[in-house]
Amino acid sequence: MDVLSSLAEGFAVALTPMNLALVLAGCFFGTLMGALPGIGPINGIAILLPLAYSMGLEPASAIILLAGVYYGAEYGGRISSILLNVPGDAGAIMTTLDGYPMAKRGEGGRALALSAVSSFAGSMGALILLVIFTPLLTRLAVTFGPAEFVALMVFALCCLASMVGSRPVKTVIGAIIGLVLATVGVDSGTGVLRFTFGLTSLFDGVDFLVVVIGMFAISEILLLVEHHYSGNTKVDKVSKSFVKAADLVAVRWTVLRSTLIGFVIGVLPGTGASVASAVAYGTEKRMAGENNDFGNGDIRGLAAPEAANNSAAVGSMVPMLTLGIPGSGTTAILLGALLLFDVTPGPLLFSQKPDIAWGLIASMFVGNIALLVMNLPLVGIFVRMLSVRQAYLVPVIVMLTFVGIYSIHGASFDLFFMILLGVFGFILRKLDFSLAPVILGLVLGEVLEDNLRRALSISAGDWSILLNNGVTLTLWGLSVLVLVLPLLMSWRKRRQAALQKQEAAQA
Amino acid sequence: MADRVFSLVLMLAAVALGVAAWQLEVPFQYEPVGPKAIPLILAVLLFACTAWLAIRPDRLKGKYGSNMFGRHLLVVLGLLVYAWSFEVLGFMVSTLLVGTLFARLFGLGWGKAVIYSAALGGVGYVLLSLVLELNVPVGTLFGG
Repeated sequence: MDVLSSLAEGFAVALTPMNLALVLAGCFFGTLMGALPGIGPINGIAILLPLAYSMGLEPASAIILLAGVYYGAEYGGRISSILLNVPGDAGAIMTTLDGYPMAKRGEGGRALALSAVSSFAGSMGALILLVIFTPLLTRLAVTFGPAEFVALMVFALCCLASMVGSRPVKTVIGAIIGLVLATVGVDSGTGVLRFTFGLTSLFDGVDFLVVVIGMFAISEILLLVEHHYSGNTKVDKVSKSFVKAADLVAVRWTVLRSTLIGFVIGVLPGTGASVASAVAYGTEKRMAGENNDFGNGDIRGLAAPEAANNSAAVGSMVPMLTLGIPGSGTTAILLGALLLFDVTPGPLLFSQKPDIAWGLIASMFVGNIALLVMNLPLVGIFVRMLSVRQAYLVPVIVMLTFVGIYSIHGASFDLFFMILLGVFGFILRKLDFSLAPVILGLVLGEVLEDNLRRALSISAGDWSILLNNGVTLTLWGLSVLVLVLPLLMSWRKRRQAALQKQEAAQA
Repeated sequence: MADRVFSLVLMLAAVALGVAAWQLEVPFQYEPVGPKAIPLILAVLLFACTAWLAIRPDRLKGKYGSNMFGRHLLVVLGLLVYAWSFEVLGFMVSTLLVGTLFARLFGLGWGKAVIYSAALGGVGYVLLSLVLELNVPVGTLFGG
């Protein structure tokens, strides 16, 4: 059993005292970041990333810490969803629908416990799937040449365009902005300086960390200042009710189905936890038929999105690790983190740096067990944290972002550039652009350009190399399909609506 | 409307990008593509997408009031002051100043805001600089 021995080596990495401590810290911070409304996993990772970098952690340790924040946040998001009816992060929006009604009728404890167990089951199920599928995908990906990678990246960006945000064109614009940002600096092929405006600080290119922190954390502060509520949000005491064995038996198929849905959606490039939980919730509601209480505190409606969003968080690691193509905005940042540590994710990661790849996977098993403990008996700590006022929180966030960015190069230029990007990110968010495509574009930009140029070097400038075999043709076809299908469907819907109106007018 | 203005700005940026990319001079190159191709493709795509958005903008739900603008301006000014004073005044003093501003903006009283920010500066310095050994400026004013 090749896989099992690799996994055992991974556990050897994950269970060193240092890495164990980092898993626990990451999971704790992740749950906290997820629980506090307004600070999602992306901000949590963005704030911790420069600190981890400047502290000189090993690449494996850093990625274990940051991944812990990511899946920890998927647990934490449910706490404020259930107790306050405010989703802690985007993946927990569906959890409010049935979680909050349960808390209102005095079953807060039961809801928290049931959702913690569902989250755990979703994560563990997805981890097992990950262990099975990653080696297979790696074997396939090793055969990919530059042309295949170009097609794959275009496919990832197309998936993103059709599934994220309100308007595909806005997602595409966001991705292009990211790709343009990636071209700044010295061109690796020829040594020509591109778009640096003569600023020496930009010769190295736009720093990934500055963009991430500026666009996410700084723009978040600008958003928070709008919604800020001055009074204390009152958190009701959580009832002593707890999950019953009968509940778990009742939701077992729901959890299993949602885990599968979440994993598949997580693996698809560009779509993450929020899409997964919405699809899982919708599926369960449809399957329940007439006989349901969805929207009024049905336990299936609570278990489904929680299993799915955790499963998707794990699933989105698969394309990141095997192909070097992130499955969501948050994994885009994890990918950027790996690149920062001079680790190139992709098919060769598993053979060249197995300690990082398998160490990370093993640490996720450990982390999820820790999270179950944190979220069952110790959930009270996080509940109490919910009543911390934003007035105390925001100065800490501002301070950490500044220290983090300053400590990379010790240059004030980065701080000013970060603020500029923050204002730009804020404008984008105000205009309903989502930021995940920008980050995805920024991360993929350099790799995309490198692969494109390598492919064309092979073919001596003949662009038809991009369409020369079955794999590339399939990927290009799929790219067109995911872009065109939603447009066709909305066109048909509109046509049908118009036809019905006509008939109604004639009758 | 906001969409339209923004996409027009981006259209101009796309043109500027295209022109700048066109003017890139490559002294010698060994590969067929060169540094111009990708930026040019991106400029064309960006122009096309933003033109589409300018023709068919979204109707945005949220309104942006002038009282909001004041608060946002304060936040940005606070951040700029922090960025400027970070090296000059050092971490502790600048955190005290800007932390107070942000605590006030989010509804904390003056007294509490000052005490909290002072504590944040002090504890933060000890934790970040001494424990985590990060690069935290002492301040050129204080000989750092």
